[in-house]
Amino acid sequence: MSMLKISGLHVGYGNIEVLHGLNIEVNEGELVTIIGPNGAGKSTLLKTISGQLAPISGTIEFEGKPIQGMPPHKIVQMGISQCPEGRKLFSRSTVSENLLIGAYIRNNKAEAKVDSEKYMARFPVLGARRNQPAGTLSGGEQQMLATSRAMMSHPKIVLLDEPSMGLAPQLVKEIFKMIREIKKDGGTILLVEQNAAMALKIADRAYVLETGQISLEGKARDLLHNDSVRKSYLGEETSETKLP
Amino acid sequence: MNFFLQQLANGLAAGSIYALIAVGYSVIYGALQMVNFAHGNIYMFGTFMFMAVTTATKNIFLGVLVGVVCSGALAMAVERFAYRPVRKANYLVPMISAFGAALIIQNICQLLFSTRTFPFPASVPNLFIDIGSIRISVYQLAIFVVALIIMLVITFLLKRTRLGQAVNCVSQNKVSSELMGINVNSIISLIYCAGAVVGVVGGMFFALYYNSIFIGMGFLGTMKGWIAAVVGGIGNIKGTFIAGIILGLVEAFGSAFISSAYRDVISYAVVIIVLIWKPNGLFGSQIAEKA
Repeated sequence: MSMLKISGLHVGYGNIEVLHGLNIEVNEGELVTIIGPNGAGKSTLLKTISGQLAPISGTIEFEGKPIQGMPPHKIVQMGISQCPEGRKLFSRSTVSENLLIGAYIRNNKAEAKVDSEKYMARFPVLGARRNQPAGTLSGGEQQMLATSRAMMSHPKIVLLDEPSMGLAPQLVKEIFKMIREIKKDGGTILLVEQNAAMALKIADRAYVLETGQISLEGKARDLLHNDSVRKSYLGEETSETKLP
Repeated sequence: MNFFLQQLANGLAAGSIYALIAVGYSVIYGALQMVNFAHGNIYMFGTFMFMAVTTATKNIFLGVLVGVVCSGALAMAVERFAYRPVRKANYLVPMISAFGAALIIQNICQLLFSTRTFPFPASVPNLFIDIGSIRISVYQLAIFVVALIIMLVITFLLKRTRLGQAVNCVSQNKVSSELMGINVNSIISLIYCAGAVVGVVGGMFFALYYNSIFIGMGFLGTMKGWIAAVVGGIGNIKGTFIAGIILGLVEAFGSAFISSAYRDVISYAVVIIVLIWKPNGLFGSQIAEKA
């Protein structure tokens, strides 16, 4: 049974429908990525899963239970954690406070404290700035912190929204290394990315989302070698795009 | 010396009342960057309920309990029906909505209690403590002590508890707070409730201290409370409290040494001077942050 199962999902803002009947599945322990151009509805999809948007129709099932339309805090308690687009840290709170608030739903605060130390050791830059307001960190540091914060609730699945956005290539590598580590530790991940090349390289399966519809899906490895994906998302020259 | 200490006691008591009302504002502003313009009328309503129950049952403790509960509940209702539907609108919209709520509460009060001024509903024995030749009234001291305790409790709740952690998050980013598993709606509701509970304690002390309960007390206390909140640095609980006390002292000494006719003029002059000198208030902070 799949951990997360989305069927016939329609979502819109007011009268404008953005997602037109999506079917997506994520199995336990899998790293699934959703790639696609700007405005395809990738963030809208994640916002619907995490409860910030209610769908027009369709279902989202998590471990067999429908969760569509539930309030976000309930969805977090079920084990779905989202690292939102643009980080959205608590910028006046310190680095270590941001980590601890990630464990808000956990009862054992001593364990949470140990976990936060683990992340600050994993990313020494965060450890060095533990008492600094999160708003003073660089973009890459903020992303490391936001991703760590999303893991602090011990989620069953983590939704990552554009973790590479606006980061220098070296930092993108660092972030992707972290995502791979989460997977290696048995985590289930739904990764939304514009950096298709990187995403396809680390993912098990992938969906291509274009103007609110899944245009292509399959094993990430296969999509990496698919001509239309290469042309549209990997920036490679093919016979059609090559200049004379 | 005797006269000086007497004015000090007067100032502390009046200042404590201003401080409580102001902290009610500040709690809400600090967490939500929203001025609750219905605050004055919410605690006024609570004070009237306190009066009604105390008069009917002759039990002042029951009256206090009912007054506090009514204020808190009313604030939560105002939040639910006047603010929540327009939370994402332009900031002017909830402001207008607040004025609307304030007017409705005021009119309901008028309907229930008329526009008369009522005396404090219970007889409070006027005890004194004599220290040498100095005589301090017990209830003046009590007002100050209770206000101080309430301020310390709020500070503790905000700084040291899981609830305070949630309030701090909600004040910074509501979307992220939801994603951390915080029930943002109930936290906001609770913040309004807390503001009203602190406010109504101020309101009941106001009734005790000036021996009067009337429809306009919400507005009157609001003006002074608002001044204290702005002077202290709105949103800063400790600053607001201290500014409230200062305001009370300035009024007491101003009335005593200059003229009581100039009492309000003196307090407004102090406000103007403070704001020219420190536009963010005495304890307001400027925060640098990267978006």
